[in-house]
Amino acid sequence: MDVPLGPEESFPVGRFRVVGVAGREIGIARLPGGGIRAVRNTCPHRGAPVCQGTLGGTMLPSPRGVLDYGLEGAVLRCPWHGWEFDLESGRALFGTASKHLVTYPAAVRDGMVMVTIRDGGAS
Amino acid sequence: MSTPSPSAAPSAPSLSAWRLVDADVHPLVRGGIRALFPYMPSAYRRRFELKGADLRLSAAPMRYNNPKGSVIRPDATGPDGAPGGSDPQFVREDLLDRHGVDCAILDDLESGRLATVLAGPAESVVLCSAFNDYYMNEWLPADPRFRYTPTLPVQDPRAAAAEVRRVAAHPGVAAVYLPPTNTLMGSSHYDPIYEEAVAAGLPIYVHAGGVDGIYHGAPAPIGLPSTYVERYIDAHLVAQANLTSLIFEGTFERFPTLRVILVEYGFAWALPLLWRMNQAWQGLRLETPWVQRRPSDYVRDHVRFATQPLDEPDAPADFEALVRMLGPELLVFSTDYPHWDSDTPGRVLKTLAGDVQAKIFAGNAIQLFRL
Repeated sequence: MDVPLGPEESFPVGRFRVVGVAGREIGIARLPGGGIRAVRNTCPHRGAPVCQGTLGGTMLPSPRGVLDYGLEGAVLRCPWHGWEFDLESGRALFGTASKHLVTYPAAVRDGMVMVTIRDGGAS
Repeated sequence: MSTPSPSAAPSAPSLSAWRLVDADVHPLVRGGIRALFPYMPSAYRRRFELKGADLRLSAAPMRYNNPKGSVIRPDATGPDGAPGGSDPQFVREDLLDRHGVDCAILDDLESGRLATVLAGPAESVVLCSAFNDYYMNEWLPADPRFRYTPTLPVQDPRAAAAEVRRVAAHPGVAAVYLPPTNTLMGSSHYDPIYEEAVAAGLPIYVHAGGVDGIYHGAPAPIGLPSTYVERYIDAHLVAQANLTSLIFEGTFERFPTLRVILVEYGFAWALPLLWRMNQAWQGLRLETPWVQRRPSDYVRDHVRFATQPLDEPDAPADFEALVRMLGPELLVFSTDYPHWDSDTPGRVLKTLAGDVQAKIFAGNAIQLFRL
């Protein structure tokens, strides 16, 4: 089902605001480069409030001594143990873990943020 | 000598209904060194003012800064922006109330670093006393679930022994915190401290430093790692070297009622160490004839390991096997709140059997700290 969560302007850019939806805590963030993301506010590792982590980029796999920063705006880093997730797919980055962050399809329609929740939760 | 071992002679738990004891919670002095000034002689206040002294959460050079900027969890920040661990009311809500913690053992790391190397010996005596009075006055009254481990000025063992005497009678003191140095713990340097701790019935609490491998005088068993992550992974080597020293210097023969807890070193490494110590003792006992029992027997009677950071084998059953082989009676649950790698109650150790969980989450701590 599609659930309206509020006007687009009520959600911050570059960080999450958490709202309750059908018994779940879902974090909504607008990305600095445009677009909107919705994730469940629970880290699959130890259950941390993952939306209090950092939304940004990270260092990409690279040869020794080379630093390559990328994925800006596409990564959520958990505030506890620092696990990093792809905000689009919910996957842990670069095969670091097999557990997924739960993500939900989100969009803005007529200025209203809409999130799609399936029965059973995850998209 | 027939002195009862600590495991054989627990004090009767007065609060046996307790189900969750957290052996490692880090409070933080709020307001820097000035918050300690009321607890020190005026001439020392002046000295620290003149030196421009202050407290810093991290005493590490840039090389060892946490790559994410801080070791403190951002979600542990208090409602008014207080850094995680600096507001006793928020720690009550965020840790004790939320997770049903019946008792939290507080240990301050800033004082430990100052006591180890960052302050001079005389300064560290004054600072440890001030830190200890700060927490006993400003944290222990805030909640009956808090207990404190006073920091000892380890550079001056006689002064440290005097500090044990000074704080021992406080009912909120659960242990005394001995910050490790590059003098291993079996050295007679520490005898005055052990003597007083035994007399007071307080365990020696040893916690991973923050200055290890950085400064002369701090423990340095691992060379010079390039990064935070390497240093973090190998932090337990300090505990391993100190445990070997305690056993083979005969410390537990000299102090048959001494009890030690090693905190924030994990414990998976301990099992092969016990095997190796026993095996080496069988063949090399003649070098240290004062070691009269199997090393692992001393460990079972005198030493406990705080669980955090928990290791996570790919197969959970391997973890259960490890706990069984080491012995669940050796393990005391700890979170390390509010740090980034904390282990959260309700999220960890859930696959262990109920009686094993009961020991690790509360029973062993109640015995060790005589809560």
